[in-house]
Amino acid sequence: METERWHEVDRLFEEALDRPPAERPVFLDAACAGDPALRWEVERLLAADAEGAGFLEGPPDELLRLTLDDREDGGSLGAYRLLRRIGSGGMGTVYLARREDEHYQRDVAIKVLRSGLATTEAFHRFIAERQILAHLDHPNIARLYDGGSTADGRPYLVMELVEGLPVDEYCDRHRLTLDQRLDLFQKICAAVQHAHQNLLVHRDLKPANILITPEGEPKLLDFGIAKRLAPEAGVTLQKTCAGLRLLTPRYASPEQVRGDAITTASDVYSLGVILYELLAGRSPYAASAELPYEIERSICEQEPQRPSAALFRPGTPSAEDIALARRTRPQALASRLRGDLDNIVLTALRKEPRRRYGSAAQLAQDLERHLQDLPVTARPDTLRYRTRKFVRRHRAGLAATVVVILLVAGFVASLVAQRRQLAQERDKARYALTFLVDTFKQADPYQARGERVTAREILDQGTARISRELAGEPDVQAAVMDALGEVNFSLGRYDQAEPLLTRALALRRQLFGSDSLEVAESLEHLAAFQSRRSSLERAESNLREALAIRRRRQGSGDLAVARTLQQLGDLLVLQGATPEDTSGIEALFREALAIARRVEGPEGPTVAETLIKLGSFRLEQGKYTEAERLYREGLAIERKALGSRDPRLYRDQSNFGNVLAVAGKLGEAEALLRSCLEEQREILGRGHPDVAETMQTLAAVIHYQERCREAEALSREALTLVRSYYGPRHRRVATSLHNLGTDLACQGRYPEATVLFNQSLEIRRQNGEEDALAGRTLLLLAELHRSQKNYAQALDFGHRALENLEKTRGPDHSEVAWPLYEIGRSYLEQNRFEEAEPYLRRSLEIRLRWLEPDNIELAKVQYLLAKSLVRQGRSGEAKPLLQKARTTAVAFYGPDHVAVQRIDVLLAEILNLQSRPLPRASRPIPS
Amino acid sequence: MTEETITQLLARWGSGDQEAAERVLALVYPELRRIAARQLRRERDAHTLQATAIVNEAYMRLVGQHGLEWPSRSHFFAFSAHLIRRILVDYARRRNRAKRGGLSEQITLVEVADLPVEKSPDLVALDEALSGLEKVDPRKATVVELKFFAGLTLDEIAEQLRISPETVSREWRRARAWLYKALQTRAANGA
Repeated sequence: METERWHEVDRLFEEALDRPPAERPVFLDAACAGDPALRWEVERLLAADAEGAGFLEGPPDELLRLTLDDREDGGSLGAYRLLRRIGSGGMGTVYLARREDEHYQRDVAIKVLRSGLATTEAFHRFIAERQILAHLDHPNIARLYDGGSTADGRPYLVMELVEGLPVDEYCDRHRLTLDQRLDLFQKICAAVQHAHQNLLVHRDLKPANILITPEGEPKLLDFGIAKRLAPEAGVTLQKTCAGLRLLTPRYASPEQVRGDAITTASDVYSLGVILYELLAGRSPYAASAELPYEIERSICEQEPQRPSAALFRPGTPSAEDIALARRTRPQALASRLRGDLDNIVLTALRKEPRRRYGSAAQLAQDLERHLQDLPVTARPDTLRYRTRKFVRRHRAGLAATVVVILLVAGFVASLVAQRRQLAQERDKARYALTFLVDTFKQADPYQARGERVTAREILDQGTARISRELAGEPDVQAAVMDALGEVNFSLGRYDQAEPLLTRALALRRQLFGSDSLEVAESLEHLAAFQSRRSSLERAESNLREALAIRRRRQGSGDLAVARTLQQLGDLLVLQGATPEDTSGIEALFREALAIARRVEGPEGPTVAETLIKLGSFRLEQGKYTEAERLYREGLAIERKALGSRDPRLYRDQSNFGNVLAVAGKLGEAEALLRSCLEEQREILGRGHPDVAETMQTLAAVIHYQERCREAEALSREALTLVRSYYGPRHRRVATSLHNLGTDLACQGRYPEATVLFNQSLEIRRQNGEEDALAGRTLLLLAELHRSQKNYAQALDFGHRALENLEKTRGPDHSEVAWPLYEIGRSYLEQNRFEEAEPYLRRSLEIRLRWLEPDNIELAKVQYLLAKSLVRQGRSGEAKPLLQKARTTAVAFYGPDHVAVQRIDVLLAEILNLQSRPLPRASRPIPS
Repeated sequence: MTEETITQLLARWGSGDQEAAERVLALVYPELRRIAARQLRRERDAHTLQATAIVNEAYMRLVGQHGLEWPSRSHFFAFSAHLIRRILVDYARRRNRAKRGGLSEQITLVEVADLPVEKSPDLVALDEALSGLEKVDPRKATVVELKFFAGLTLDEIAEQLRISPETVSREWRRARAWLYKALQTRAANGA
């Protein structure tokens, strides 16, 4: 029976396929009359035919993967018989093998390159390794005897078989004293130095690659990822291809982690880590978690603890046991490490390659000097160096601090201009600057408590000092408060920022009167803060007050007025102004544009900025064509005004990529973003947050093209960047987690995606930043649960998303249409048609107000609403909706698309139902 | 097991004895797996990877060197395609198991560009769906095996099955839609 039915479906399917899509509904009407289930089956097959066009076209992935995993078992290679597998590394498998002929017998290690990598970079490295190793002749480096290719073309190396223990294990097992360890380590340095002199960097030095033979001789193994230093390029190696990075994070240098150029100094760093562990029995970084990215983060950012102090870090083994393995007591060991050895190790571990020892030999020499009680060259970090490091570590915060200093200077300058009390004001300026500089000086570890200091501590010290030391200078006090409020704000320290900004405003009102530019400035800063904190109404009233002040004081001839206008416009857009408010917002941007043009001429930077902001507004309104035009105009002016290497240009270009993507021009968007990313990397460096931002937009564009694995890789890279730049709890990290979650969800990896979404929400909850982005995450969680048919949870998240977006965006904002659509769809899939209807209807109403009439999003909600109506037996109401949806879908997708087919199916059903009412079928609803 | 018995088994299989087919599979599986692995290793680019080459080599070896008699060359192709399916599905199962293994590794291997990004189906699920198809429409299932697993072109399949290329193409299109739908349903049910 079942088979017969199957063939009936198959036959109808075949006949339907022979007809043009438009004729199929009519055909099915006739062929399946009276058998809706039959028709349903055929329809689903037709839909599968349309969607699955590329399905099963390529060879199965497993065909390739199989070879990647395939392992040689037994057999022989050349004159060698493989005895057993010893292990497998990044690129291949290592076998114990034996050479036997009439003359002699020798055991060797044979490393065979993993098959599937044969065409990749790994292959070339492997070949390079064969050539390089053949030239290396050092008693402490494992010898290369031979090389060749296996019968199936995989290259292999025959190497000296080294029996021994990894250096750390060897030292502990034999309970070597500190002096013995230093002797051994110097030999290791000498071997590394020999390799370096042969223009070879090991790049993966770690205890497992440094074996100590039973005779106590070190042997360096596995120049697996060694790369020849090009003599013509000095000591700088070619950049490692980001496509294939092999490294052991624990021993990797910061430049390796970042993917920057690798030099002999990278090996010096790895040697430093090994030495650290041999001496103190601990890792340089107290990373509690073992996650690679956290280790990597420590490597790049955290200052290692002094070995003498690390010894007492809680953990296993205990300080007692560590000392015991060195035949001493903890206190004695610590005092032996303190001073020279601390300094030597930390010198090897400096973040910047140039500040480390120049070579492995220099490191060994300094150890030798120490052993002979001569003064060593290593010194603790200087104060200036510390300050520079601080700046680098907290670039985001410090950019803001620089702004602070400029603000203070600017504040003083305006005082000067207004009051013409030159001498006194100059003193005030000097005073304000000195105050800030002092704050930084006091934060320096060598002036303060000898501990590491964070931006937080600096800011807290500054805040404490304001009231203490600036009480006699209230105008300076207010300026510094305002400035520190801004810095705290930009670092996400909202609780600290708010009182500073508020007090600065109050103070300025007292000092300068409510109609002063100082008050306007404070109001603007406070408004920016409030809009981030979703107090949009308060922000608006503050901005309107600021604007009124500026208009009165500055007229319409000052760029500051234009900026306030822009800020207000942005805020109103954020508030979710209804289309009826559009003309008001438009007027703000237009006025800003007019001012900018008057002050700067037609091609000034503020003109460009305003055009681009206006473009973003158009995008928000769904007017893609105009958004695109404004962006293009703005960018052209910006390029002329700023030159082609200004970071702002690329930030806007990256946003333009987003515009193109939203407008559906994915190919152009991708090309633009890729070149933009390249430029940004070159101009700003690989770790800059703008780079991460562009990566995320690019990932989105790739995601839209359903290349989700590729998008995932980019999103992960961006997440790492953002995390290391802003710290793990920053709202940008929450955004990145959200984006990565969408890439996983699109691959059907729902559980992983859910985890990321929840992490993202948790960060926002903790930061008190439950803004519209959190609403989007909630919405995605709703979608995820719905696609897995967990309807109860789907509805719960849907309603939470709705609540969030109504609150953060306003009840009539276009984004509110999303959760409404989602909730409606969820009800619909559960056949709860009556409950679905009001949500879909409201979603449609909002979209009708916001979107252009031919927007495809309208068609989507029209289709679902129509379906909910049809199922409730209200086909008459559904019909006009479906007809509109059909027109839109045909224009957008073309007449043969599966979406059009679905609409046709429903339309055909209506015609059927209207002419000859059928009992309502209870069957699943096609998605 | 001697070669003679393999030949006998093949003859029985040729006359429709499914049990005989299973036993042949068990016998020839390791041989074909080795050939497949070696063939694949030789191919350095995934995109040019051709299962047909494996089948051809296997045919040469098993028929030529071992002197095995097959009911027909098309029998052999059908058989090999089925075998490749077995190999790959087994492998996919093992891999899926392995995925649930250990969490952290000492070595981070960042391989961004390891495999082609085009969508490849979940082979275990596909195998189950294909077994379902086999029950109701064995010819479609054979076409899928020859096309997807053995990598034959539609014309080659037509030659092997002695039907018109047009018919093969139509069968393929419908089989593919059917499998696509089956996998979708399965995914939607959270299987």
